[in-house]
Amino acid sequence: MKRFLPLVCALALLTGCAGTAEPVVQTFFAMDTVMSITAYDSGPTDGLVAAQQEVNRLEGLWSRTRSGSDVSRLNDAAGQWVEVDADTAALLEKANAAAQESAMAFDPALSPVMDAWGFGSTESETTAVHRVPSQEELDALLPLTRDLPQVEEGRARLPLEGQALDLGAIAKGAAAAYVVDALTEHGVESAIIALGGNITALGTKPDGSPFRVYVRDPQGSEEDYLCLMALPAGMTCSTSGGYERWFESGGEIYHHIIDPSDGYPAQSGLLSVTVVAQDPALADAWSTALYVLGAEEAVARWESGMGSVAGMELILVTEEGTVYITEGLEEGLETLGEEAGYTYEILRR
Amino acid sequence: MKFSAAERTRPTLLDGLVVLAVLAAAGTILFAFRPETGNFLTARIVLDNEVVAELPLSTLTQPVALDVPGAEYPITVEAEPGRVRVLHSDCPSQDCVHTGWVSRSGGQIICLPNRLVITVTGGTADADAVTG
Amino acid sequence: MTDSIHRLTRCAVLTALALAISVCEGLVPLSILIPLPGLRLGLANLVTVYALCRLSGREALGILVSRCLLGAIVGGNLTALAFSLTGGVLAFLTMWLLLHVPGLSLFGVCIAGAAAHNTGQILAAMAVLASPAIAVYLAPLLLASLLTGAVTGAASILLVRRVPWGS
Repeated sequence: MKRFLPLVCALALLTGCAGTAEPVVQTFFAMDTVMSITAYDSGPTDGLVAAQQEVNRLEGLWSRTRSGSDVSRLNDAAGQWVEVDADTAALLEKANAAAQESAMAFDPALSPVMDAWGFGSTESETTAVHRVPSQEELDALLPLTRDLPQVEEGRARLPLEGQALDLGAIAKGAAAAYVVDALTEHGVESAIIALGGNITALGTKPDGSPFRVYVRDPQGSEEDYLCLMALPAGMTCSTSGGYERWFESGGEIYHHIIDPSDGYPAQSGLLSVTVVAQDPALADAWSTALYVLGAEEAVARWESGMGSVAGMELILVTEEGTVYITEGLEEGLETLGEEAGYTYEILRR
Repeated sequence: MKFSAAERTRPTLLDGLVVLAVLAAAGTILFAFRPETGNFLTARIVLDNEVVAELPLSTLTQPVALDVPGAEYPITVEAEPGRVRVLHSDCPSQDCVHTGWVSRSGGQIICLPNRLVITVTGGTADADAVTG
Repeated sequence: MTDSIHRLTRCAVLTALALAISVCEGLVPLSILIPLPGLRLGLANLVTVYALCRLSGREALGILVSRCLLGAIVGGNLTALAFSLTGGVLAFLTMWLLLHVPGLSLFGVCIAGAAAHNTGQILAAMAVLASPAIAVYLAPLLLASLLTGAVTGAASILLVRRVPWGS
């Protein structure tokens, strides 16, 4: 039974490998969410520590609730110019670009309206009082949300008094790029970075295969998944859905993705949007924007071959239970929601 | 010839029984060694970035309940063979309680007010992360 | 006197034949077609069946053990001996028992033999690696043994009928 020996050796090797290649997981709380970085390289501790420090530094710049952060200083001094960090200026420019390209479906200055709903700064989420604001209230607040922050060399300004900035829908994505840099600088080449639902693949798994990511079923429970997809090296996926945060009032469900055009929770016929993109900040911002814009607009932009969305891959889940998946994600895709009543359609162009 | 078996040229009914017996044996083995959901699963409880407990879910024989020491809002974690949940929490959001049982490797229960996260690790994970 | 020399010669020839078959089988591994560790057709088992039917249990066992020993020496791998011996002996015992059951054909005997051979291998592997989890491999191997057993069964029927050698 010589043929049997390779099996024996292979098994012995397998168990040996499992012992040494156990990934190191760093889980921490930052930016009001749970972040975890799983590194597959040996001795990744320095990289992980550097990455966490980087996130903490960025939170110190971009948090809305920390006094002294760039964002709270901008909000406190709305209408006046404020000196900001170069990283903040870069993020504001990126946020503005996404806001303009999405026709304000993504709006970093939506805070006044968000606060009215109780979906404001997330640190107060636990004590937040959710309520349905009156139309008059919204009408008064909406004009404060239409002007984007102005950015100049080393400084920025919210144009109007009473405006407020919240970078929550882009900051976690943006942070991923810094985490990748910190890890790479310390020699980490294989890691999966999860910053509150934004998943970034640094390299591939040690065996060379791409990292695999579950997409949550927007209507299911914690362990129900829509599909399993391969996340290519260097890409980030980000998901937005009304199911993440919501409250009920008078028998109606109000979710946290507010449509900046009318100040009400977006009713675009979508349950969730997953965006896979090269730039983690854009993946984060556009998952929100496309959720607001709806499936038709999202598909049209993707099919047009022009603009940011054309360079991304999308998973769109409609209220009818149809899951549209762009062709770039087809390889390595495993659909899991058939039993829950989902039908899958691959979009091609 | 010594044995009647050596005289035959066609399979007999008893041969069919042998085939059935082998099939039954294969089936039994598949059943006995079917991948268990709780294959060496561990639930790691991290409070404020520090590991406070690790519960070996696979080797548990009976349910255990654990009051997480040092939590701002008193929180009780319950573990059963192969799965874990937050049984009770005094936190305002109750998201952790609503998450329910988690049994898959990679699954997480998060209690943001407490800065507590329970991560199930080990076993064979199908995926490396979850988005959404 | 001539009788015992006769028997010894027959055993020697059969041992050489069994060894040749198992070496040849190693040259054309079945696992290329079906990627299952430990899978092979088990044609060397033919010789055991033939020896059981035409000679005696004692001689068949002798041929089997000699073949395994020689195979390990030829292959230069003594660890492999544990696997081939446990598998071979378990198969031998099973087939020897089943041959005494009236109403079976060589198909059933060979299928049971192939299944027993795989079981023996896995048992040896479990012992060597001290890992009971290896038993999962047995299920697909058992299913495969239905096929390989049927093939060797058909071959052994031809062999035993067409080569009526000896007493």
